[in-house]
Amino acid sequence: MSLVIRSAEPGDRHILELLLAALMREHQAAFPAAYPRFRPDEAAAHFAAGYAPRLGTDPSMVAVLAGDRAPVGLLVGEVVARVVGRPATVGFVEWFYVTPDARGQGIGRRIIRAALALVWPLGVTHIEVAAAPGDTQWHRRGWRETARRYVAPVEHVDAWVGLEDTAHDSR
Amino acid sequence: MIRTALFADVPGLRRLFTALVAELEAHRQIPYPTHGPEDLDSFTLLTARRIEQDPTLLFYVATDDATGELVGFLGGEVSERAIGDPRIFGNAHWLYIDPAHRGRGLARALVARGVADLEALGVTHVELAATAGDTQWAARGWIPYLVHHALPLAAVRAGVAERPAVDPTPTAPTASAPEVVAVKPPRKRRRRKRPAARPRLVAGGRA
Repeated sequence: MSLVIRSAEPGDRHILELLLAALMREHQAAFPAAYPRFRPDEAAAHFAAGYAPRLGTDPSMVAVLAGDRAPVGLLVGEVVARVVGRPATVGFVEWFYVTPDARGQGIGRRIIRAALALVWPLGVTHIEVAAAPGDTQWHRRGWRETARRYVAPVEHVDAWVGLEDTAHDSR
Repeated sequence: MIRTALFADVPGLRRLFTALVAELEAHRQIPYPTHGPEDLDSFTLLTARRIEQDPTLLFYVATDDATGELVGFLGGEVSERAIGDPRIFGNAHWLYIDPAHRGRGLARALVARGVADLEALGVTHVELAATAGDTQWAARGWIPYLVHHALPLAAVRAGVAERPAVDPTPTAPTASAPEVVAVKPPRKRRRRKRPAARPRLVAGGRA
């Protein structure tokens, strides 16, 4: 196997779409209650179309592909800025995937090494990822949970604020 | 009194945000991201630019009925995601009540005001982010859907440093990669004198 790890280029839109769709399908199968809901093929096409014109031109965009005769893995992330809080700029991993039959060969680590080489010169000090609750892989690798996002239907919140209990919220 | 925030509230909101950040930094389990003085300016700039200007911004304040002083606020916005359902959602960023005014239902009143506006806009879901270890939202029936993690880049680098690949689920016998194990210095072995070779039975017996 002669694996090639490289930065994605505008012409890689369909490879991105293929891998993103596979990732999303696998994710939805593993976490059927995932929120928000989306159709994998539609979402993958949407995101790939959005990334393609930025590849090779936008230095804040990081997209790394792994492939031999066929694409087997990707990482897509961005150097993002938060309005409030430090570090103000971080590397945020949006998508990270290795196809099932290519796992266990260190391809994920090679992809990440290539991505880090791209963001390191930009002065990024921290990397962030977001995962579904129950996905423990990041915790196992030593990543620390910093925040958790919650959702509730508006009527649920409405019912809560309408409660006449004596223990009022203290926040 | 609960009302929509006005541009004139920006100094009071800055004061409350300062108190919120101080309380947050003092109590949260994981100090990431951190907040410094420059973040107060960023918050002030954000609110000053958008209050009374941006219809997607939802900012409400609770005031002391006697003095008119700001004693709490709820800040958020109506957000739209590129793809996925629900496409439009309420995005709550900050909810804070001055400690001296807690226990009077002001937070609920602020949220009720925000919810009323969201319902009027046809918004069906509200999202928020809580710091790690903050269980109050789960206790109120909110559903966790995303967990944020962070790691210093140097630690990520160390974690993916080159090392032999090990297939955790081999499907066929393969040459196994050398495992990294703690190595003790080898004990000196006394070489035993090899006994003289005994004749082997080759034909008509065991080799």
